Amino acid sequence: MMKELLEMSLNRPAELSKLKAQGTKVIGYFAGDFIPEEIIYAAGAIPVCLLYGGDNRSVEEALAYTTRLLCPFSRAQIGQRFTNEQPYYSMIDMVISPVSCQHMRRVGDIWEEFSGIPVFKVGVGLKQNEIGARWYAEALKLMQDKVEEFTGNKITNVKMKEGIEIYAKMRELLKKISLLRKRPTPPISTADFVKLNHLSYLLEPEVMVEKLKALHEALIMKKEEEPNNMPRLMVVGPAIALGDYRIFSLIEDAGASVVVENICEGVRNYWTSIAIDSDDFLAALARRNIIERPACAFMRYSLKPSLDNILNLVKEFRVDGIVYYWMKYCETYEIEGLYVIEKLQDKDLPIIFIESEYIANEAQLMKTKIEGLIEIIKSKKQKE
Amino acid sequence: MSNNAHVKSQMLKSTIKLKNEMGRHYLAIEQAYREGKPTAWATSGTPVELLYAMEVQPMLPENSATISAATKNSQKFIELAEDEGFSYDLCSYFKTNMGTTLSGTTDLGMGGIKKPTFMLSSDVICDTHVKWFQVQAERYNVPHFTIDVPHVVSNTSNRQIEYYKKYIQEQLWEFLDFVTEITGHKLEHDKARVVTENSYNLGKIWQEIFELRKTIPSPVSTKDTFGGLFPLFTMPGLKTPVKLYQRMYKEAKERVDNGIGALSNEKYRLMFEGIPFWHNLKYFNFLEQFGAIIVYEPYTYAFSKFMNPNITKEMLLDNPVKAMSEIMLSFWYIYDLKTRIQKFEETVRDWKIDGVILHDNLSCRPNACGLYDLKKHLMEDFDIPCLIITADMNDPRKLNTTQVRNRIESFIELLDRHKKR
Repeated sequence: MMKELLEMSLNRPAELSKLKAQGTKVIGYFAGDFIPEEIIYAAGAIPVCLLYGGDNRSVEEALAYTTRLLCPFSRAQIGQRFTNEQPYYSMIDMVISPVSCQHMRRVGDIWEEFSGIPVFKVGVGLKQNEIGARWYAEALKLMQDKVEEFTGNKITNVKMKEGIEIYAKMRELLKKISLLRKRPTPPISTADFVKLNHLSYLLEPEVMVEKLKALHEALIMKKEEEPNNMPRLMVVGPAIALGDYRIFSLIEDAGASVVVENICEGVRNYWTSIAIDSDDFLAALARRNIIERPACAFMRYSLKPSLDNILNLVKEFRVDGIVYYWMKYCETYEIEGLYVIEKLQDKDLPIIFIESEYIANEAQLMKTKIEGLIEIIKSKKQKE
Repeated sequence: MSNNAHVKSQMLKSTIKLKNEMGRHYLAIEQAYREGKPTAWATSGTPVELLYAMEVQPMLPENSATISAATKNSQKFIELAEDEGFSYDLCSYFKTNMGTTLSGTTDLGMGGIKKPTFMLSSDVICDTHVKWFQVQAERYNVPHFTIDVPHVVSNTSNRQIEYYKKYIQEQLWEFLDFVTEITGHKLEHDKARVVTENSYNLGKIWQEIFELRKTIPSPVSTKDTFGGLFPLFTMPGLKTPVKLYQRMYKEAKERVDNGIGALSNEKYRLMFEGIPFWHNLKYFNFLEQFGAIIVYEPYTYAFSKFMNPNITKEMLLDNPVKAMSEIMLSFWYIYDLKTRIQKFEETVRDWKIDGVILHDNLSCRPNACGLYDLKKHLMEDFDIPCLIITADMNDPRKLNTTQVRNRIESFIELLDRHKKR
């Protein structure tokens, strides 16, 4: 199934080119789940999330446009536009950029300056309460107006509802698959699961839903394997880019299993569902994205909710240790990460902090740290 | 190109009194603790006026951090924070503050800071401010309120702006309730009027001083403005700093009227973008031997706050909370690149700037990000020579004095050629 989906993703740009030739607009948006695909979908356009990264070339390329102080994920979103390695970055007709953390804000600025395509910025209320959600809903209204104007298509309630339902279905299936990893031996690796999440931002949602359904059924039917007794780890971090899978392979190679990922293209995206109790769809999207979704570190009072969320996942997935994967120069995740480390020390839960700038020679240090973590977990288990 | 190593700019006599003014601020803090008066940590860019209006003594950890730097203590505090795991690249103000906490330094003269009654932060300048106060509020076990300020971007419509104002206003009212709940103090309208009027006057005089700097030769140098800006964010709302600024203005005006410049041989007029190196302010004197003087700093100007023509004195006095919400939306640091470029263009023209020095501040994202684009526009569109120097506002380890010196020397040569051309 994974192979099939990956092949589909390779063919997707060609598919999009054909649709573009027929007059369909392809609208890119930046990761972080603050730009609802549902709105773009409802306008009859094709949403494409720009979330490639992990390679050093695009990060270095971005230095022609900005300083090193932007996190590598953000810099990759700049560099990709200019390296022309990923077709999505050059085929989009317009890009929508969230005014969220100070790194992503900058990415929108640079695209506006250099990309030559329309850039629309969406303000994000960073307080996880009613007033934060209210003004974000206002910003979504402006986005809706812009998308309608750009595509020439009016967004109807019927189309909006359809969009919300299909994406909700997709997230629900991702969550169902995710929960299967609670098994003593997870039927799917987290590296593959994160890839699935990434593909869900690129492929046609109807197709993705169909494939996820089939995969979920297949995984349920899969005979449970004997417990492998490998240390069960959680990866916590900001956005993990499509292509940045090194952290997962290093952990697996070191003899541990990642059983859950607390990242933007993971738990934070699919964990909560959307409640629609009226035709005010934008308010429903706003509530989900601002109040109900697990918080990103740049949200205004995220510290304790994030810690609680981590502890909840530790319990649910019976996590033995945590790898806090942090993008270099991202101050909010760094400060929050160190807070989490301090608090988890009291709970006797081993945790390591790994930083990345998408540089090849970081791997050795990462490996050593991961091996150390696994040793600690193993000796702790022996004592138990 | 002449090189007069002995040439030094003349500081305004009134600026020397700044020490007394800041001393008064620290005495007020000490007194608040003695008398059990409520105190609050506040990040710069927050409406400190509301704290004064509600009889809460503000303390600004960033200001304390600069004192640590000026007294050569910041490095040890920063290294203490790094020992705790905070990275080399993280904001050096934050790390200085964290270091004082970890070492238990409360001596205000070293940049120490005490446990407050509560904390007030905002993201008007950066995301770090909010995270910084979140962890510190946890550490000190005190309540924390943060104001989320939407960032104005190029496609922001009037409808959005109106909504932004309401969003901030709503939070400010919430904040007033928060303060009342903790301290029992309420916002008295009369007191708020006095405080905001003082703040308005303070900001306006500061802007008038900057207007005088448009004159050739400039009557005021960074010796007056880098230090002189502190009352703007520690004491907006008090009467005494207004008097100090009035004296500074009067003296600068006399210089203008008599054709006297702060630097006797003013040759090149520069703009300095970014936060200065508080650990080595004397370094800026180096420019003077070439006849170069900094006549405008967006950073020090930004704190004068009242730049939005929509915010009138009457509006401020009638509805201080509404006015404060407008002010928070007019702050330089929330502007996006396009708006910044436009502001720079105006400034270069009005202040007759010959060249721009941009500080690629290694620990300040909002300051550093965007410098390359700014440089590109200034050089290509307006033919203004620019120099990017890499250093840090509070961490002396990140300033390579020799390297920067060499770069400045080359820059001066470039300016010279440019002027002759």
